[in-house]
Amino acid sequence: MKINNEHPEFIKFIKNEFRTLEFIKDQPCLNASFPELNSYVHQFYCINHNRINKVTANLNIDFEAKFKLSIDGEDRTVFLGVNLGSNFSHVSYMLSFCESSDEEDINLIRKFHFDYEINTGDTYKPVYHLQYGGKLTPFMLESKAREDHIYSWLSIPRINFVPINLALLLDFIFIEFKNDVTDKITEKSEWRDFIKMNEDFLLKDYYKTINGFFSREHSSKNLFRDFSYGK
Amino acid sequence: MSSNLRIIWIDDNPKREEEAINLKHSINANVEFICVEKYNTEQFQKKIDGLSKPNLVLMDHSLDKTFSDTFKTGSTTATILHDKWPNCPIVCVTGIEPNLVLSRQRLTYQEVFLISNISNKYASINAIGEGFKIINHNRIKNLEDIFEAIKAPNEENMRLSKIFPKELKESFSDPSYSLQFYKWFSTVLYSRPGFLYDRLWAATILGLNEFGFEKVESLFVDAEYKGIFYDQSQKRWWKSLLLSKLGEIVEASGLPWVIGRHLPNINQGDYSKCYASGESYPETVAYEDESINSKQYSMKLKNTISHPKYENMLFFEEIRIMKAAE
Repeated sequence: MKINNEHPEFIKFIKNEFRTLEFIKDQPCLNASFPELNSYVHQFYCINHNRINKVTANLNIDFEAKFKLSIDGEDRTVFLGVNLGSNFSHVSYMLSFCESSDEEDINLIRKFHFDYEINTGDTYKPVYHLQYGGKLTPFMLESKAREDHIYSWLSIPRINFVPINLALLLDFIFIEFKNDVTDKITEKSEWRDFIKMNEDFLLKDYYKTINGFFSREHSSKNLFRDFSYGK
Repeated sequence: MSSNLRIIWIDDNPKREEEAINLKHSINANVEFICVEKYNTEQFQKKIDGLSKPNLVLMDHSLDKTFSDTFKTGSTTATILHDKWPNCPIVCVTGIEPNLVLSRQRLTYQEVFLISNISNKYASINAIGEGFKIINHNRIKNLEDIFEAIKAPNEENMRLSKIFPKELKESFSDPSYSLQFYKWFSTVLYSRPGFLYDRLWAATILGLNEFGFEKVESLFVDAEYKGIFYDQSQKRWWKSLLLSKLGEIVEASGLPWVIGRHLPNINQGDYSKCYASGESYPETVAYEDESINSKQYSMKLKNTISHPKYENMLFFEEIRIMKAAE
């Protein structure tokens, strides 16, 4: 038994990400509060939705968006990214934010990656992990972003985390950087239904697998730590 | 429905009959020129009473060469004509700058065109006439009829249904519905970038200048707006279809203004550049300043600010102007 035994198949996973993009692009409240995010999502959806109709395990997704969000009482530029390689060859969700919303001086002050690594064999890292730092993306480079205080060369530690997708990451952002605007989105029954569907899709079986591990396999020779590191 | 357009041109200047003949030949329409010079009220009224409904009326704005106090302006005459034909489009032709026509009077017309520039407006006149001919014949009864009339891509129906004005959703049976619909179509959907893009916006989103876009325009023919009121002289492209076509042609993944440069036959000279800074990859189009005749250019977002005269509209692009130099 592996911790990712019940992880959705790649094609199902990608299709679900496109359902998320479709949902977001049509949401008036998201467009009104986060027009830039909505616009990036709409663009990405339009360019790629025909590709998804002939989806194969070889499809890659490389989505990035830049938008403004009030964090700790001040508008800051946020970068959001999804990088999915064919058949889960790499899976990385990225959240970064800047010191301010000044487009002339994009100075990153936080940068997180939420990764899923199926080939953890040699490297010994958690299958689902959260990482601080990481390289600048092409979009960040194009936006002339600086990372003076992140020291991206250091890629450890990788913190054991839960599986994530675009819907759950967005929900996480809106809840963590909570304000009147994000409350309006996350309290809507339509949004809650949408998140419930994604929790069912990605988390339900993940926790069932963990429950199964603790019920049948957990021992001092087989720690949960080993299990979460893909053993 | 395939018969020629029937247009009535009401004017108090007999010399404009020549323009009417030019229009007739240019768009292959039946144009009836009615010169009302020296008409008194009774003659004018009698003339109107005897007319059968055309597909479009062209109306001189100033009718001061009539001897009638009632029919002194085109806008008054237009109001009377709309009582008689509630869904007939009336386009004003005037010798004064269209933006100098009083806004109250402008409301009575579907469009205002400058007479000295009228030959450049033939395609627009034809588009309006043909469009009204269709929707006045096949009445719009619900939102689906609108989607069909504008030939909206299916994936845009949800967003369109959310931006379609409530008052238009509630008045399908109004006799003048087509006029109200046209007003929304021409002032919002067709003129504000969002669902439809003009040439500069289309080029910019693909990372190209207008010359570069011209080189690949034929690849995007399916994205061109071909719905009701399609106007050859003011082409528009569905944004969603432009992007979707881009995704079909180019294999690369990423932002449209980046992958657009992978389109065939595109070279560096075709790349868009920010008008303000000369930088590559301008993401938006913005006015140079706040003046009425200000031109628009491709610009980097960071070199622009929200245009103070425009409010944001759901699912439409924000209208922006160039940042003033510091």
